[in-house]
Amino acid sequence: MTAAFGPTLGLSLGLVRGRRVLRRRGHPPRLLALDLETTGFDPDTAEVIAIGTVPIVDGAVRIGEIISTLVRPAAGTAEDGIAAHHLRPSEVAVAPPLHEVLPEVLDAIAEADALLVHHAPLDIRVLRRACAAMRCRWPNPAIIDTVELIGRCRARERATGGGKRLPRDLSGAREALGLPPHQAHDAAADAVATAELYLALRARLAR
Amino acid sequence: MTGCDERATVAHPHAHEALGPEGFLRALAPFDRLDDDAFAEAVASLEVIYVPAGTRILERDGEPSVHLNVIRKGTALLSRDGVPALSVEAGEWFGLPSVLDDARPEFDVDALDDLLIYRLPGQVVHRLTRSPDFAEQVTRGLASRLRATSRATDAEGAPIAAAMAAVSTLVRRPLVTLPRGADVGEIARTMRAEAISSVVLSTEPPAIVTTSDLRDRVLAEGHGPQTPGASVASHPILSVDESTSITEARVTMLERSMHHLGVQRDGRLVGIITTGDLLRSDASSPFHVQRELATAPRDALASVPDRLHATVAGLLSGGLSPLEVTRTVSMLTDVLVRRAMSLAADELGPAPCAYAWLTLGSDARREQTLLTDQDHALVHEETDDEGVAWFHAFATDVTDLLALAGLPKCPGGVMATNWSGTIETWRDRYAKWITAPDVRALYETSIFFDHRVVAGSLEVGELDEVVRQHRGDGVLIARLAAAAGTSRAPLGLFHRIRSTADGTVDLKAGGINPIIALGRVLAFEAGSSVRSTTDRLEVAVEHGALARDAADELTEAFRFFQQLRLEQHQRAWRQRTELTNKILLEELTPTRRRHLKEAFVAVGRIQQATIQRLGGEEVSR
Repeated sequence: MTAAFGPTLGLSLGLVRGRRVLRRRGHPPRLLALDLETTGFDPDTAEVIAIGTVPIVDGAVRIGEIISTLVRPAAGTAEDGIAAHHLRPSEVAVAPPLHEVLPEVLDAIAEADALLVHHAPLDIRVLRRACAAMRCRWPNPAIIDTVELIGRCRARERATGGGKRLPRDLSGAREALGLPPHQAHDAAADAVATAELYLALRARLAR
Repeated sequence: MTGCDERATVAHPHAHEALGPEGFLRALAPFDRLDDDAFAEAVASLEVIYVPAGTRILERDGEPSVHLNVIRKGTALLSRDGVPALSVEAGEWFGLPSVLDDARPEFDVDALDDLLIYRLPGQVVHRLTRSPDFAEQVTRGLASRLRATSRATDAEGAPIAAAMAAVSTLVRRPLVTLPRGADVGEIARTMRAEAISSVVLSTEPPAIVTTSDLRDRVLAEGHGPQTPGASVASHPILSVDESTSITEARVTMLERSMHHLGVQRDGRLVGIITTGDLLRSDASSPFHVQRELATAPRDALASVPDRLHATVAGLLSGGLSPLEVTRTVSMLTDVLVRRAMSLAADELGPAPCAYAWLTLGSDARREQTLLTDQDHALVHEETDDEGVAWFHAFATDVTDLLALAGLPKCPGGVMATNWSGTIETWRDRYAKWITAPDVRALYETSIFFDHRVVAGSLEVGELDEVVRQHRGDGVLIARLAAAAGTSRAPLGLFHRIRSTADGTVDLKAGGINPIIALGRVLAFEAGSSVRSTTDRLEVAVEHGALARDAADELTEAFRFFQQLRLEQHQRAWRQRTELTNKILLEELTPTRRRHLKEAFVAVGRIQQATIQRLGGEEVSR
């Protein structure tokens, strides 16, 4: 949630109404888009049931390097939280537990110059909580949040009196930017969708 | 041909499919031809990039592209010296020559709007071309690409074919449901009104009441009409998914001795089929239908369209080529027409003299689909006023009977009720039409040049003779060629498919008709009286008037358009919407859309070249 941006990035940051915003035009050469599917929206109790990540290297989303895994939540997790993701409890039951998959994901995060998430606060909080519980080091990556980039587009378009406002949700924003529909609630598909949205937003903000 | 069968409604659009990069590529020809290992290798190096509008992506004679770029969204424009040549749209690609031959780009490539591109490194594409199927698709001509699409193993054709063999083809009507509180009296009245043997109660889960429930659980138990339906209903309803094969459904019902079976789509009950439906499905073979039509009484004619649609569904799902399907439909239509004639003669008595009943247009060429109307004419020997009156009454009755059997009357009136006469009358008509100076009129009357005798003993070969006499007439050929240009492929700027405001394209007007008209003028030039369009193209090749490649492309394009039409008609029939020749571009898979565009481009190109060669351009001016 309060991740600091590393100095190697050379990005200057500013606080706008309490939010971190990427100021400069320079694009980090390697990003990791990430999406978590969780059992709820409370970052203090939500359990991870799926993780999807995909790197963006020099502006190209590398589909061959997707990490996609289901995660077995701790016992007693409400089944309706799982069902909301079109997963069957039985599918999740045979998945590896979080402590087995977390190191690989953290390595991928550490390798990237920044972590890209759509609506970052929830996913980051959940990951950091998991790190603490499992005594893993949180790599403390720079965070880029596509929701914030949407906010910047909206602010700019409000200033210029531009037409319809860009929706903040992943599917809505993609549709508004002319990107094809994607398979929502699949962590890997959402990560790819976020990566594509980032590229589209970046092009829009560069105009 | 005279625009008789134009109707403007469209089937309901499906939601656009949500496919990620891997899924999109997997469904796209030629990637659908790769085995799993080769495809996995492609995905391992697949990348997504986003190119803002206005970007120059490749430069003519510049550096070769190191990627094959497949467009997922947006349009790129190929141009040379600032002159736009071709648009590249979703499901199409650019950079292939660079990748295969390390050649420098032959065009400038610019992003017309924002592009979402899936790209593969050149070395990977190179390795993929070791798969013969893949190589054939990326390197060979349009005809072989289209032919590959229509193979039964086709990734996108297969589900459609499977759906047709499925129980879903037996669901003839929407589900009839009543509120959960309905009593058995109301249920029985609904059954009578709808002529059905079961009603579904909207309980959760839904329950079913059948006629045997009314007998065994109500009447035999001494209950009255106020008995709550729910108390005699059965649930859950034994159901199968709509994709289940008819054979499997039959086994399920036999095993459980059930007479009713629910059909589900996405887990939701959408219809009930009965053992009767299964019996009838067996009977949808063309041979059975042919026998049935040949002896059908007047009051059975109304069920003919459903029988024919079921037959077509069976043929398509059996993997029959669209051109064989349309030939079968023409054959069955002949049987129907002869039956209508014998029913009419039963009423009117025998004909006063010899005659020939001509079928015209698509049916004459044996290219009939089930979206058609009546096009026919009558030739008879010299007769008196009474005889003429008999033929008029006869034609009227036959026309009415055919209308009853689902063949609407031709709005343009091209029917034997208006068009009859002696052979001399017809010879004069042909001579007049063929020398008519108006190209449009020539096009309108060209339906008569495609005629075929369905019944009657009168010899009409001399009508073809009238036409053949003119074969050396260059002016006439030029006018026929100009007439062949009346109908054009719907291509707009940069060869983009031009759709109407509702996003549809008319396959008949833009694809079928231009090919038919080309076939007709080419056959005329060759002095041939063969009727089928594909045969006419063959004749033109033998005559040296058409290149082999061009004939193959037109034939495959024709087959492709007919396949799309037949599928579209089937869909509309299943959904009980009006049949149409228009397809929604949105509903096509990217591969089919690309093939449609390529087919239209080929038709447009060959049409223009042929018209030019025959001097049709001058006539049009």
